[in-house]
Amino acid sequence: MVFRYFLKRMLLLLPVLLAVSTLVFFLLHAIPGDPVDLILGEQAISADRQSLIVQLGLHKPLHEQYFDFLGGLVTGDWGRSLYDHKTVLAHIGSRFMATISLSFSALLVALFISLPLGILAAVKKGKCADSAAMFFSLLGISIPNFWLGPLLIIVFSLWLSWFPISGREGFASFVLPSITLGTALAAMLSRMIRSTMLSEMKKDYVTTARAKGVSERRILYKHILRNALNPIVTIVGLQLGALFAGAIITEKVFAWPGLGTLLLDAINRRDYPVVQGTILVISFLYVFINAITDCFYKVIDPRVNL
Amino acid sequence: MKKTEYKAFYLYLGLVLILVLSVFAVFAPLLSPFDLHYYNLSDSFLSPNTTHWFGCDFEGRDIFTLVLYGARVSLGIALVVTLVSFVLGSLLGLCGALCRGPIDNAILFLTDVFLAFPSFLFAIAVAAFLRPSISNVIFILSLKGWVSYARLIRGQALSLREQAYVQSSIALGASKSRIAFKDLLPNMLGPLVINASFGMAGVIMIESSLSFLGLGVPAGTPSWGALLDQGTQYLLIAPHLSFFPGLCIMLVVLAFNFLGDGLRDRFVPDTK
Amino acid sequence: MFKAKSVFVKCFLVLIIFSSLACQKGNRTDHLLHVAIKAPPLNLDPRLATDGTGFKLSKLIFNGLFRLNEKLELVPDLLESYQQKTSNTYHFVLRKEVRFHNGKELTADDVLYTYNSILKDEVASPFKSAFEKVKTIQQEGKYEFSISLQEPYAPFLTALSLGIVPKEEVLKLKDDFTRHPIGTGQYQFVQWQDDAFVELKAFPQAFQGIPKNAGIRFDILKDDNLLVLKLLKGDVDLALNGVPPVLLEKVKQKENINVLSDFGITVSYLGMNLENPILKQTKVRKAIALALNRDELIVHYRKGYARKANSILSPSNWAYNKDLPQIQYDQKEAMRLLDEAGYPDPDGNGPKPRFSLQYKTSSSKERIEIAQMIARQLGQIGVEVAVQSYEWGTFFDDIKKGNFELYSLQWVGVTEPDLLYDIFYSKNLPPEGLNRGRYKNKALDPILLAARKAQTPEARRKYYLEAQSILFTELPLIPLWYEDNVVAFWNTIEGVHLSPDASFKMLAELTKQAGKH
Repeated sequence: MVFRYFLKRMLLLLPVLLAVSTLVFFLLHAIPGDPVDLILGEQAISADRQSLIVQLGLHKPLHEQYFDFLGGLVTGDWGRSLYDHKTVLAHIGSRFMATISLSFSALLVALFISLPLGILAAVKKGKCADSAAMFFSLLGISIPNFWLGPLLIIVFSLWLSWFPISGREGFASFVLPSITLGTALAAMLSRMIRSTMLSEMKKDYVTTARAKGVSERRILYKHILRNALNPIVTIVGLQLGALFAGAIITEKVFAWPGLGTLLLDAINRRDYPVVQGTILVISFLYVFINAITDCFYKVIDPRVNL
Repeated sequence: MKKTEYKAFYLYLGLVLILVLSVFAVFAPLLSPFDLHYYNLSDSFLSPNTTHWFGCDFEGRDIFTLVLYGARVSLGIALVVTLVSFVLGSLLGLCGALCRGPIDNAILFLTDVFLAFPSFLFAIAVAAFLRPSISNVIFILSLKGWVSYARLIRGQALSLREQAYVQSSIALGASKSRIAFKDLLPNMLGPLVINASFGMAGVIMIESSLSFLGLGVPAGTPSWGALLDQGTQYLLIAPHLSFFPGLCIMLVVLAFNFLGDGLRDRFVPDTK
Repeated sequence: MFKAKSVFVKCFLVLIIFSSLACQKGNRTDHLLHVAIKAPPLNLDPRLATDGTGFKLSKLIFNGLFRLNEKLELVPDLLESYQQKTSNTYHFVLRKEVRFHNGKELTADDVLYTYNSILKDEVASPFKSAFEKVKTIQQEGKYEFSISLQEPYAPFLTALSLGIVPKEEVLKLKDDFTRHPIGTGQYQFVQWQDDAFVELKAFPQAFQGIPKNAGIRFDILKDDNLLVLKLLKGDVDLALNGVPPVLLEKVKQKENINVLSDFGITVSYLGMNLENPILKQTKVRKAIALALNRDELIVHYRKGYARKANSILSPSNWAYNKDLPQIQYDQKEAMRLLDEAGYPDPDGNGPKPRFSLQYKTSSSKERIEIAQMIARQLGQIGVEVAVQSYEWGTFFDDIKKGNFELYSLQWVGVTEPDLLYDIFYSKNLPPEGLNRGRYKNKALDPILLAARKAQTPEARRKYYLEAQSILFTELPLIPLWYEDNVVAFWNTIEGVHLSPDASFKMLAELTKQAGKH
């Protein structure tokens, strides 16, 4: 039953994704800027632009190019970069893991910070620790990651030389970007974890357990946390999609070779096929993860009416 | 200290910060120690000192001055976007709630479509197609901004609609717009202001992010995001370029978040 | 509660330990020279490589019939001898026993294939226009062939510095050849890891002689800060035009790093739209030129690593006009000229300008900064300049369409003086030509045409001297400066020297002392 729901969600996504790719396709062609020039180079006397245009398929009427594009999407031929002739899928493929791994390590960092913080705040509700935790979470949401990133670089790369300044090389290079990307998420998660914990703590089974004389700590870990984990995981899943999109800035700050920098470079170069492909992939990831998490949510709590 | 006192503290702290920053923004020309266009090549990359509190940039321009004018840009844009989103969102939300039926469905569908995409990606995608200008930035940010207001107002309107006084207005044959503006809207102000406060924070963040990527305000406009972009370039030799504009963004966003948080705890029943 | 805290602390410690371990510098075990490049090559196929990096790398992997020596003179490379039989026919004899990297010998077959593949559009080559002048190519033996042109065209030989590709391999690999190039150069291709590096190794049978080092790894470092840091740490041995002038001070501070600079041939210029009623007038253009304080610009933006320019051609060029003076910096004279041209200052020293101009630039930060500085300088003589920056595609489109008033760009790697024809001949409007300023001078046109047809370098030179003189008087575009080439390298590297075109060829002569890092 859930599977049917999942299918239904995925089917609904298709028209949305189609709309997005169509919009991007036509917009890209509407703006000024000619990829042929970018390939030939700014100083080239336009030797035979025509043959290059034909080679790239840019001579066909727009709607023909569009249907070629759509057809290609389905068959797995997402075209080639206008710039270096590598296939779009190869470009995306080489950068995909970089973005995914960054997002996941940011998620780890976020969980690392928010779990203890959120639990602490819930348990010590109303006291100093709670207020301090919530202050830090507000701070975390407010720090722009393109400020935090350079700040971390200055302190930990330039002054202390603990970590590399940018690029993706080895384990150490993950640390600063993950912290940068994960902070805002950590802040948000700690608030949500806190409120989830609090609502769990009000439930009947907790009072029952206390009446039975079970120790506070046991109640916390065996019962409350276990039950709270489900909605927490759901929330995390929902935020994961946003992480992929939010990684764009972090990737730029740290010169991280991921989908974000791919998109920015491709936009600058009017590399139509790459822009289309990348936006599609990022949107798809975002929407896909949301759909999965929604379904997961439904699995946990069938009463929820999605 | 009790939590309620903390929350009140946030509320006032937020208000004070916003007020101070607004004063800086509005009176920038009076408060800035140097003219916006002043430059001195021999002061290039000067570290903060007594004449230049925040130091100088590549051309020897005073960073404190740039930051003050930057406040105008960032706060100004955020204000306009919030207003536009608010108006647009209210109209559509009220329309949906009062008209119901196919119009309501259409509006809901629209909000779903817009919500389907991460705000930031959406902003980048559209910004890439437009020439950098302040009006384009406002346009882009409002494109997605109206959605949260619309949903909020629609939800509120739907529940308020069932109230006795609204029902009597309907029975008496009052026009939809009259019901909207006289009966519904005034009672929704609380959640709206809270949403607006968080909204301001969000807009400032996205505008700075866009400017940081070079997709926001045009070159030469002293937006905080653009200043940070410059700063990243010279990180190795002049880290102070990055520090101060970023600090300001953080303070403003924090202030609006404090305000929103404080208001929410005061006016909305405590669910936490 | 406390359990959570202790778990937290433990994990944190683990993270720190891991990071410090990972921080141990990877030891460089290869015996390669590490050279930094700022962008990946787009193509290594010489018929396609117009991007800076691709072009330079392909010159290491391939040879052409001719090449440019360190004085930027055209000298035979693959040729044993050649002869110009008539005003438009040439006879060529190739060297014997030149080997491709796969061992095969290079013959006239390969040469003809290379040129024909361009002419027949087997590849969409940006170099086609030079070959379009060809009437026939005739093979006359294993190593001999003749080329006859439709009309005399002196710059033709420069076009023959295009790298020769092996016919068999290209037919086999087709599109993949650009990523698996095989040539006759001193270095052969090993691997190309996207966005990471391109590796070349020495070719023992190179006819020019085997390189002094085992190979080179070109590390792709797009981010300036990253490049500088890698250089400082020693991950990179050498960076040619890789460190931005602003960061050179920081690099110079490091004890073991040397910085060499020398004259370059890339010229930055201020372009003007000569169809604009204001800019049409020579006096106005002269005034603008006089109002530019180029010394200030060079000292601040290039940190002194540039020289004032008075022509598109640089002093290292064989056709450069040495007798041209420099454009002076004279605000008074500039204002006087504007008065004379009919644009007096309406309110003396007050804020009202004589007239306004729009200055378009790309979104490159350096370009924007320079534009803003120029705007300030022009403001001082009463010309109000509004700087507008656009991302590259939009910007370049506007330039080609003539939708601009002022703009600035560079001419990169100017070696062939025939470029003057492309830029200033009245019919060479974009997109086919480079006459973006829409300059039309009936007196200059025949000179540029004659220079193309002249039979001897001396004759050509005379025409180009005259052309530059006219261009200096008219100033259809204002040359700003010639950028210096700057190379930063570890002092364990020996043999470093610069050529005006910043070619990578000198890399073959470098050796590295062991035992640093």
